[in-house]
Amino acid sequence: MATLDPELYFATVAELHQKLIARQVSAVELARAFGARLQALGPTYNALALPLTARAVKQAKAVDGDLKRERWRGPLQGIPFGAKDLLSVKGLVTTWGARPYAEQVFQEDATVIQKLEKTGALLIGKLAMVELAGGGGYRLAGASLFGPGLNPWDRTRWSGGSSSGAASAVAAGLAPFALGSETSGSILTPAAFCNVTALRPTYGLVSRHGAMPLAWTLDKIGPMCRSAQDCGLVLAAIAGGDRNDPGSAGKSFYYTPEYARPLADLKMGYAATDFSDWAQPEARSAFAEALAVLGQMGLPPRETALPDFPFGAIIGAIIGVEGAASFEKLVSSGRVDQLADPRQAAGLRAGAEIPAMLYLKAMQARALVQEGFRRIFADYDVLVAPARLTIAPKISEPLDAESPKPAAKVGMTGLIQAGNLAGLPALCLPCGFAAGMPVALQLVGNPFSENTLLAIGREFQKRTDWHRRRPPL
Amino acid sequence: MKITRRQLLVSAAAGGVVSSVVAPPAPAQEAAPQDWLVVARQTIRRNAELLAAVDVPPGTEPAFVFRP
Repeated sequence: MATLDPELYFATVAELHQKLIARQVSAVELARAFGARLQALGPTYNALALPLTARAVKQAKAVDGDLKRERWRGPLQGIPFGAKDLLSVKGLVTTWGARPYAEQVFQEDATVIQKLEKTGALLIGKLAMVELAGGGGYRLAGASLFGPGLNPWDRTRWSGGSSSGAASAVAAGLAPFALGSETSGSILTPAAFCNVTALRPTYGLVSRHGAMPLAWTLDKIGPMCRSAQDCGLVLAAIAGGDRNDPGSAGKSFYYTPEYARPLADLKMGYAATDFSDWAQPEARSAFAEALAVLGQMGLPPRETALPDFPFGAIIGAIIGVEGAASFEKLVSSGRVDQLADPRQAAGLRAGAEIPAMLYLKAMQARALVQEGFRRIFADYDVLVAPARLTIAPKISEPLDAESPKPAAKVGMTGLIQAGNLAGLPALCLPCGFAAGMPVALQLVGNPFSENTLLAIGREFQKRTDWHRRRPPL
Repeated sequence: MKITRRQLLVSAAAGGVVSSVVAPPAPAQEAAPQDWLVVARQTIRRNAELLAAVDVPPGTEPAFVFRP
């Protein structure tokens, strides 16, 4: 394995950028070292789909030439990264994590790959994922062409899905950052389980052109990083309008923490029951400390509630129909039965049977959910809730295994689904540990309020070091 | 409605299709594909029941935009 100061494997993008500018390390050294580490350790977590070290080293030589001539392209120049294997890279296999697509090759780079490579970032590997991003509904951690995503903090536990490899790779220091995607929880869940700081952007802010379509009114691509600041730097590179993506909002994003509103001017809402009743008992002290830190930052959360809708039913109907349409050929060909989790195949088949009226009713209800959030955000700037209520489950357990814990109030336990329905941005902030496993907060804001979320995240991470903790390797 | 923490885990982790908080009981691991189809259809039916209870005012346009 190519050698590098071991500290650099866990450095942030901003720190690596400083090292590159100061010529303390070269882009070739970073590409070789991270690429070799990803190839060596990635399979330990079932995180690696396709190594691209040689390709990255070739590009890194050009980047080093630019750096030598002081041709600056920004903070990602010379920084290695990984990408979830639903993003196409010209001429290379893109499996979507699923056996039926194990030999699929596209002849165009996804827009986000193009944008990152234009900044001089170096793609060192495609990263494993839950098959079809879980679009049929999965119940097994092993629902992937690459096997179950194994958590770097405890390899008997799941890394989360569907951006499993992206979260594991960043957590284990195999890549400084990675791109994941979320339809309903696929960035926030693995980030929370693996102690990764990650951003789900506002729907339409980042182009999905060249990404696997699952549910086109819900799919988003976002950064999974070591800090809120890194999320801002990566988002600035990948955001922007794209005529090739019909869902594009046509908006740019500039990471401008210096212009963020004073935190004391912001109002934060939460549901106390999430933290006191719903969160796994072992995690409650970590969440209480995190809320106390927010209070010290001038952001004491105040009680509020989500609008009362069956978020799971609404998003289930939408993903069911849109997913069935996306994978119609897979189902009609019978190749759907090659999927690792039979529940997925059944979900895709059944999704095709959902009546149009049910889909339209779900989309009408979705408009009401958006209206409900508009009312909340008239009084609050940001909502905070546990990113996940539990630590990562054991990979040996079915994800729908029973565990008793009824509670009287629902609180904001549906915030992931509700936030995705409304297209809202969310930031996952590691905030401590329970039973040796990471737990995290989610911050959710108005559409296009990423700079506000990132400013809160940056200040939180100045006051805590949870995001810098490293798993035992 | 009673919800378990585990149901909430699967609700967001599983991409949404099994995401109804009232997912029906799963058959045994070694169940036949047809059994899983029954479960998936039950989930859709329960989702439909929950959606039927949502009061949508007349004139509410679905949340997608057609751009000519």
